[in-house]
This record gives sequence, structure tokens and C-alpha cells, in this order.
Amino acid sequence: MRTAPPTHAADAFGLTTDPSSYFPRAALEVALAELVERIGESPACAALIGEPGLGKTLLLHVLEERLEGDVECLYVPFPRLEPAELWSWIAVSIGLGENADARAAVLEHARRRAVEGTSLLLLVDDAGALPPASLRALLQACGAPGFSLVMAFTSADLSRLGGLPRNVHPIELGPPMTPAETRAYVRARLRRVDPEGTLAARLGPARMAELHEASAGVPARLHALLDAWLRTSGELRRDAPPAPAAQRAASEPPAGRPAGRRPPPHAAIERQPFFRGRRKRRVSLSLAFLLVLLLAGFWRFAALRREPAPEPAPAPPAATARELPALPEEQASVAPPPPTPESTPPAELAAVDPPAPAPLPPLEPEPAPAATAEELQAPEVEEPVAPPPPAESAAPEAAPADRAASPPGASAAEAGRAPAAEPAAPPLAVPQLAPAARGPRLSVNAEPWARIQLDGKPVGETPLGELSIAPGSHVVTATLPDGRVLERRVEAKSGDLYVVFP
Amino acid sequence: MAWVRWSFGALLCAALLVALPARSSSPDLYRITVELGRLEALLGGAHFREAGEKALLLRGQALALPPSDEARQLVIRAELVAGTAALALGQEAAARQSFLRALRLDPRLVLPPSASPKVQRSFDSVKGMAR
Repeated sequence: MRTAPPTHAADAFGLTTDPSSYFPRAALEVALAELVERIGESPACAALIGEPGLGKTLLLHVLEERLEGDVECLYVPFPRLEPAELWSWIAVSIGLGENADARAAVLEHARRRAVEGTSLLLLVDDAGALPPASLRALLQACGAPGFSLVMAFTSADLSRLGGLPRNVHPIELGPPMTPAETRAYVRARLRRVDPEGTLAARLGPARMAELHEASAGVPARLHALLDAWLRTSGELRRDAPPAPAAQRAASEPPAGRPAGRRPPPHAAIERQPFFRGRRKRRVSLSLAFLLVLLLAGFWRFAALRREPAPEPAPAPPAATARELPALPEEQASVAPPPPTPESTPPAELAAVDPPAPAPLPPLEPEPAPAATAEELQAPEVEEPVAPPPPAESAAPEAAPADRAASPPGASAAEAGRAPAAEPAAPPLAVPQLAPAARGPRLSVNAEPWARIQLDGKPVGETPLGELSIAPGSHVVTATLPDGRVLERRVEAKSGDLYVVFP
Repeated sequence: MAWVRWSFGALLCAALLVALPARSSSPDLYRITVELGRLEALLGGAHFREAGEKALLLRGQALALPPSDEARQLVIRAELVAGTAALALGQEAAARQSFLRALRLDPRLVLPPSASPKVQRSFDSVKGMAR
């Protein structure tokens, strides 16, 4: 569970010109000491040179703070003014008011400060933006008593200006922060807004190293990255306005790259290597999600493929088969004569009073009211060991044709076979159905059931399937359980005939 | 962190999609039920061979369903169709095996009163073995 974000997390890497946010490090302290030393000299004119984002503006403010009381400092944030405007602005800013000759008034004010043992120090930020005439005017004023000047330049500014004038002392701001300085800097910043260290705890050494590599030790870039990190990690609302430092750092083109169309600050920041890991994770998650979707789709597709297409409705009998309509000869006798031994085939007699079947060897007890799939899958029944069958039962699966062609006495023998006298059954999974015989075949069924006679000869009870019959006309007679006797005449040519009673 | 929430939502949807095929037994159950109804009609129409062969196929498909009472009932119905068809074709041993398998799944299984005595005898002959 993440803790609630600090209330002022936005300030941790916000605007950096507040001297109270200054975090001393060696290069800055060296530059500050050199600046202080230079200001005591005459002419006191120094140029603070450093790459964008290294902290020149902050350093000017820190210098202003440190010299407070000793030197009258005036920070010039926007020097893009022509000489007259610039001098006028300075005169007004130091309390001289509107003056016809503002330059003379300012220099007179500086002279008076020198007499008092202090001086007037102009801190010109972004001095590369000074118009040449204004720069020349300021440099000329550097020789005046009590007037000191510190200008902040970037290397690009100097190359555009063709170098510094002789009387300007260059002070290099020093290299960017080292990894250790970066770590200390970030922790110090975070400590101000998050004394409990929950945020700092989330920035382990590896993340710090990534941060340092991404920012190249430049504080402004570091601010931009951390500001974006706070937003993307939920510590800050993403739609909150980015810190000005972050905005500026993001919009500043890297050294050596011309300023062209600039990407939106956040897009620029999140393209930084520091965010590559985060992007990688995001891409990985997206890919994993897509993969899961694909697998799900494939599984579903496979499941659909596994289901065979529904079969068409019960096939009409094959082309050679004919469903025989009830023939006019069909008769129903409401009061059938009681069956006589002559009218009841021996098979049926045997069925009515079958001989006591030989007891089947018991199988393993298998109570299976709640069968599982495994139980269902393994139902292979142990075929009971049957006593040796009689000779007639050597071919228990006699083809129906044989049964139809055989005399009723043969049926009696078959019916008299005890169920247990059957030899071992074929494998249970897929019993092999007998191959179909050639020639006309008759299948008869009845609802609910019937005893069937073919051309007056009993052939058994329904269901009766694939009785081989001779080509030609035949009469099928069904005796239903309710005593009705139904007759159908069939013309057997070839193929299968299906007769259903009633 | 909106993308995290979206990702979780998407993963949840994916999990549901994955779970749906697992529930695809319902369409199978329905399809096999319908097919069995057709087979019973074929059986009534004396198309014993076709009904018997298809019943064996359907039995296999019903066995592949996730275990449930409905699936078990489908297997039993397929066994009865296959047994009756086998009996009609004169294959009494195969018929008994089918009936016995049906009885093993439901020892209290009984045939409808309208069943043919021929079928009833075969069925009864294995009834004791299923207990």
C-alpha cells in the first residue's frame, strides 16, 4: 500500500531560483568564492559561464543573498533592453526614480556607494540576450568606481559574441554534478518535502544511477525528470502544471542541437532514458495483454473447431431406401385371436419363458451415482467369464439375414441361449457393427413394439434390423401389444427398406 | 497510474474471455442433447445402423464433457440408443455391453414401460451385473 503523496511534492523539483533551495556543492561554491573575490577588485566585472541548467540563475540569487548588507545588488532578470531603457530600469530599480540621464545617475549612485565602502552590483542573468549596445554600455561602466557587474552567459552566448571582452573575468561554473552529488542533491530536495523519506526510499541506487545518467548531472534536467517521475508515479497529478524548471529544461535543446520545433515538455521528458525502463514495462504489459487476448481467442477458436458441425436432421433414407406408407391392405383387428402355439414363434415362446440364464460372474461392485469424467471414461466392463457356450452359440452375432433365413426352430435355439452364455464381448468402446449384407434388407420397428411376421413367418420382435429378404413383393405383419394386427406390403428391389408400425 | 488500472481491467476481460471457452460445455451439452433426440428419432424410424454408429460417436463426445449429471444422462441415453440399435442388428453382446455401461452409470436405470420385451430382456440380463 502506497502512502499518501506528500502535500508539497510539487515543490521538490519546482522553481530553483529561491536561494533557500540552494544545495551547496563543490563547483558552485568555488564559483561563488571566485565571484565574491572578483567583486572586491576593480574593475569588478565577471562573467559566470555555464551550460543551461547548471544553476547560474540560482547562483546569482545566492550571491545576492550572501552579499546582502555589504553590496547593493540588483538582479536584472530580463536584459533585452536597449541602453537607455536598461539604465532607466536600473535607476528606477535602485530608487533613483525617473532621470533624464539615467546612466549618469546610476554611476553617481555607485560612486557614492564606493565612498561608503560598498558598491552597486548588477547581476545580469541571461546576459546573452543583451543587445550589443547595452552590453557595450555595461562593460564601459565597469571601470566606474563602485560599479560591479556579474553576467551569466552560456557557452553558446560567448561563441555568438565572439568571446568576452578583456576586462571581463570569466568564471566557469564547473562540471555537472557527479553521481554522488546527484544522489545527495535529490535526497536533500526530497527531504524538504518528504521528511519521512517515503519518496527517497523509492529511489534506490539503481534508479539514482539511471537518473544521473539521464540528466547528465545537470540540475535542471534532473528537476524535469524527477518532476515527471512524481507525476507518472502518482505522487503528483499528471495534469498538474509542470514545474517551470522542468518546462524550461525540457524545452531547452541539448547542446549542439538547433532549436527547432520543440516537443511538448512531458513528451520530451518521458523520452529520456530514465523513463525507458518504465516504458519497457508498459510495453511488456501491453504485449502480455495482447498475448493473453490472442491465446484466449485461439483457445475459443479451437474450442469452436473441436465442436463438429451439427449434423443435418435425420437423414432421409438413402436413395435406395424407401419409407413405406401404410398400404391399403393394412388391417387392424380390434379383437385379435389369442395367440396359439402356431401363431407364436418359438423364439417368442422362449422369450416369454426363457430358460434360467446361467448366473453371470459378479463384477466389482461399482456404485456410481455421481460419476466423474474419469469414471465415465473408464467404463470398460469386464466381460464375465462365461461357461462354454453351446455349439449353436459359436456364432452369436449371426447376421440378421441368417436369422431371417433360418427356420423358427433356429430362432428358438438362439432365444434359448442364456445371456451369460455369450462369449467375450467385443471391446466396449466401439462395438463393431456387423457389415451390411448385400441385397434388399428390411428394417422394422414399431411403437411401442410388435411381433413381426414376414410373409407369414415370424421373424421376431421389434426392433428388427437389416433382415435380408429376397427381391420381390413381401408382406410384413405386425402384431402390436394391444392385439392389433397391421400388415404392409413391400416391394423389395435393392437397398434398404424401413417399415415402422403403426 | 491510469494505465495500470486499464491494464488490470483489460487483463480481467482477457481472463473472462479465457474462462468462456471453459464454459463451452453448455453448447456441447445442448448440441449432444439435440443430436441424441435425432438419433432416437432415427431409431424409431428403424434406421438402426445409422443410429447405432452415431450413438457411439455421441457417447464419446458426451464422455468428453466436464463431469456433471447432465453429461452422465447424455452418456446413458447414448448407451441405450447404441444398445437398442445393436440389438436390432442382432449384436446381442454389444447391446448388453451398452446396457451394462448405462447401468453402471445409473444402477437404478429402468427402461420405459413401452420398451420392447426384446430390449427389456437384454437389459434385464445385465441389470444384476451393474449392482
